[in-house]
Amino acid sequence: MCCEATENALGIRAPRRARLIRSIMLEIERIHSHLLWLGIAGHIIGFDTVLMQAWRIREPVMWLAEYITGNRKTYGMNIVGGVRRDITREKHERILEVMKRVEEETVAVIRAVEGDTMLHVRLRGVGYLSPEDARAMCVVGPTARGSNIAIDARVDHPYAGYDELVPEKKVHDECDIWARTLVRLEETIESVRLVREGIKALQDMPEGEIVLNITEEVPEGLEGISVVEAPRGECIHYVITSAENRPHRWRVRAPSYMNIHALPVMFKNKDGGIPSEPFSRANIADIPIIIGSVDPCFSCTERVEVVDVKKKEVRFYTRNELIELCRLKAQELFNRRSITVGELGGSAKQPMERQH
Amino acid sequence: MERLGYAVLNVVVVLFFAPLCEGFVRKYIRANLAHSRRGPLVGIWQPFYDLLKLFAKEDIRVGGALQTVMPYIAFSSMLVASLFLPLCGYAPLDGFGDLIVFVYTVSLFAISLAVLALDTGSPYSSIGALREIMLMTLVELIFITSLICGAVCAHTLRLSGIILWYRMRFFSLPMLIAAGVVFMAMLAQFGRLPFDIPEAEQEIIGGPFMEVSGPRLALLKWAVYMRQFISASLFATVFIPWCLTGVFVIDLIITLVKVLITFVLVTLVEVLSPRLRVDQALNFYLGVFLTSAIAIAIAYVAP
Amino acid sequence: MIGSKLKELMIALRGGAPRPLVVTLPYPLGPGAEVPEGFRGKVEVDVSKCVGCGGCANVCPSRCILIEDTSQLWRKMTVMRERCTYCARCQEVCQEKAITLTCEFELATDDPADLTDTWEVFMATCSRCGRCFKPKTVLDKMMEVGFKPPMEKRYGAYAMSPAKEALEDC
Repeated sequence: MCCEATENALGIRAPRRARLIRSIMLEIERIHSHLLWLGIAGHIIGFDTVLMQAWRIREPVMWLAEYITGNRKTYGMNIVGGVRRDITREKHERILEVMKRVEEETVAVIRAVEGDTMLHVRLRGVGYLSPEDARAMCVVGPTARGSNIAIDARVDHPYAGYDELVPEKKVHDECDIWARTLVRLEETIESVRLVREGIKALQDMPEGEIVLNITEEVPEGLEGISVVEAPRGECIHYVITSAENRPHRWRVRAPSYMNIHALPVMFKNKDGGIPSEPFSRANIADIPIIIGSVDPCFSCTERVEVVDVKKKEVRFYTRNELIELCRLKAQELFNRRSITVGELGGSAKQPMERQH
Repeated sequence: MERLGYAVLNVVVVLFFAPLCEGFVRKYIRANLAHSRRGPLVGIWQPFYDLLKLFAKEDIRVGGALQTVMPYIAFSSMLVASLFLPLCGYAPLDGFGDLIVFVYTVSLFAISLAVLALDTGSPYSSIGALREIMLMTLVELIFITSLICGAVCAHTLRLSGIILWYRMRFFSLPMLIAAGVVFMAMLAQFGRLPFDIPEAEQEIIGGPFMEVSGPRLALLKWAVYMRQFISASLFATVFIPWCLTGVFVIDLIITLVKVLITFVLVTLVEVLSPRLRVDQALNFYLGVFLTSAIAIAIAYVAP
Repeated sequence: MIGSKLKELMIALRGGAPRPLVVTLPYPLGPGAEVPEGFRGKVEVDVSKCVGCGGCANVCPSRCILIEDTSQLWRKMTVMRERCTYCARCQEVCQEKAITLTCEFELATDDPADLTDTWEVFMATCSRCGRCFKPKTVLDKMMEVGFKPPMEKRYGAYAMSPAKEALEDC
């Protein structure tokens, strides 16, 4: 999180209640993201029933997030120094009820799916990523934990409330899509347990402050870095502050950036076989599910590649070109209102410099 | 004259009830039961609305000229196959080369789909066509061997003869095995999961159906629904021929109910399965083919 | 394997019991789900409460709220909701609770002008330090030099006496 990075830059720490609330919201996001993935993976192999039922189980979690934060998915809870909304006592009962429901139904799904030989036939032995290859490609998250590499940023670099709520690393060693599926399903159950522990910790502590009152302006030139375990893996934020409470640079390394690079290796290996043998490579039918098994977030990849079909060339947009395009678009929008960019509200000198 | 009446009736029944059965399972089994959702607003009439909408759309063509004709060939082959269908134990074209010509016209659909896909020149369609040919070769073989099992038992190649013989004889082991075999073959002929392979939307973006649009797509979809209905009614009339009174209208209604039950069973298998890969499906069907060969062997010994 | 299939069928049949088999709502042909309190929906501005401090414009991450000072005394503010991210930072910052997020979410339109609002705030200047402030009562407003009622009321369709007009826009 960018807020954690800025807090690290300033050397401050959010109050305990805020840290616990941050952890609870992260685990709720993990539950909804893994159930979403289960549905999508089912859809890719044609099993629409799993899609609909997993998303039906996920729907109360979305309503819960709307109840707590005001929106189903974009929570907007974090701010530098704490959180914006409190999880007061009357919300605890609803959270625990939803968690109980989700746990029951997810356990039922796991019991039903783990013995299904048709799914085994499609998912076992497909998309094999050996532990050596996984280390070489630096994959993160459930993709790594499915290949017997026990990394989890919540345990290795504790942040937010994870020094109190310690999760257990779920690691499997089959190294194929089946292992990643099991890792994600088990993590969902683990997240339910963590939410329950977090709510209990909130109930035990008195109602306190949820945000630090930062009165001085943030000094210029401070650096901060924070590592977060997103549902897809390890996400790193790096911040350099500048004058007037604005960041000079904000760099995000999304986990999908690392996981997508491992895809060609998975296409080549099948059943842990020798890559040069003709029938040990993945079929066309396997490719969508392999891509789906790393849970790709394509919007987190960073290049804009332009393919010119007429001239038959490929080029990448650089950072300055992307910033220039953003500025042109903003100017066009403001031109429709006949307002010039210089009269914008606030004290911004260069409004677009904030984007990376 | 009577035959002409039966012929028109067969065609009309197949044309009308095929999308209706599909709409029934789409709403009540797939949507309400398996997916826990409401389903289409108009319920069982949704396929009709889809076909009506497609007839009004623009016809976009790429590639060769043969693909213009193929949907019409598919549709008309299904109409001809419906004439061979013994809906109440008696088909309109009863003595005209019964079993063999029926299976040929039903397979003509698969061949026309493959030619259509290959003719467009699109890579995904070509893959769909190859998968279709691979699967259909084995599945049609299985279909015909199980019907030949029935023919061996009844000592006749006429479908109505097989039905009559089976109705007299309440239990017959090779026919039971052949019924199981035909059920498996039906799953592929329906184009339903787990053997949805030629028309895999997530893998090859629709396969043969990708490059067809407008009225030709409407005819092709209708031909798909009719093929499903014809397979299901063959299963229902030949392999479950009991519970028929002598009255024609009641017999028709009972047959339609049996066909609907077959649709429901096939859809239940569909909603509980993921899609198999082509090589896995072929392995499976090899086992099924051996079973049907065993059924024919048993039919020679103990019909 | 048959056991797994039966278990899957049971999950589908239970379908969210004790609720009925079908869990989707008939929205928009019927009522939709209830929106909880605290939902971050459409931005609404209560113009009578706004003092023109510009805090919301300063804090808006997508620069939807724009300030144009047409003169020392008149501050024109525009909210262009088409880029609003519904983050509610403007609501947090506003001291007067003039800008709030309602529970409305059905905002789709093909005309961006439907989602744009403009309001003008009269800012009087302090005679000693020269900074702008908003006068509390009508009488104070009328005593400031250059006070004019806002544009919408000036050329209104209905005729009102000037005193009543001045009362209207407090």
